[in-house]
Amino acid sequence: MGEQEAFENSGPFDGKTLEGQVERYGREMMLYALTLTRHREDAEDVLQEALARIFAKQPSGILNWKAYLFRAVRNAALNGIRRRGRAARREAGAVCGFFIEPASRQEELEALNGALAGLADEQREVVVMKVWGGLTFDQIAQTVGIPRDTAASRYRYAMEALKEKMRGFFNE
Amino acid sequence: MSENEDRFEQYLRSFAGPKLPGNLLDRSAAKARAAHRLKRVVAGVLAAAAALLIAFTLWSRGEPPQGSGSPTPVAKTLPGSDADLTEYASLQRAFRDGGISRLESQLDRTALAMKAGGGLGAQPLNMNSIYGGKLPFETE
Repeated sequence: MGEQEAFENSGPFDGKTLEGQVERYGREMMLYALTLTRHREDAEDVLQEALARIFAKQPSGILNWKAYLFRAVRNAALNGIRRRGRAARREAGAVCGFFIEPASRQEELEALNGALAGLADEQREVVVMKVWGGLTFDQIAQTVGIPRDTAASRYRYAMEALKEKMRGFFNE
Repeated sequence: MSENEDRFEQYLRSFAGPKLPGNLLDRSAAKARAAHRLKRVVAGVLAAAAALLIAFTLWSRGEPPQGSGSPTPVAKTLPGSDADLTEYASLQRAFRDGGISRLESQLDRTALAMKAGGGLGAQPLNMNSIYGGKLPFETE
């Protein structure tokens, strides 16, 4: 998919459509917001802000809703961080777990949360967008504002690190 | 992507984060509506303030200038102006036609006219007081 195609408009805005897309991708959006803020309440604030902006803007139509929603979340998160100094709160240690399910695999959950938290911010962002968000490298590159090759290399480094940390649970 | 990487991705996808809060969409819509209302109110207040500013500016321009008032004109006509030249021509004609007596009466009329206009001629010109009873071109 070309860079221009990722967020191209193709139809009128419809609140019902947005509602459906949020129901469909809500969990991925929440995880991505958590990845950016590392704080549950901040993540909810970011999502609310992102959706409020979409309601206010009423974009005339979206070709790829998932990519559009991810970008909206990212913009809202960056604005929130600039405005409220969320980074300071993050530094204070108010960090939550990224994954909560399946609850039956608690040890793996803790290991994965720790492994993801241990990644560099830019690597964590790319790997969450690719693995759990299902975005292509083109869409990730456009959302984050980096070259496609950079997105791909960040993903590779992140996956290697995660695989190393999860070696005891994942059998190659 | 190798098969192993693909399997690892599948493994990672078996973990899930928290769900969205149930009322998040409604709260977002309400927030958007509130922001829209606020924007309209601010726009209304700004428009009203701009209208008041314009009205005040127009009103203040219609008022007379503050302070000592408009300056009193020091002469009815400026030297060299068309009116000044007309007066000079009329005085020449009066002297040519009627001599010194006609010139004096013409000067008196001019002075009275200037006095009526608030100019320099507040008093009628008295040729005697100026030239000691003799005009410069009058022979002994």
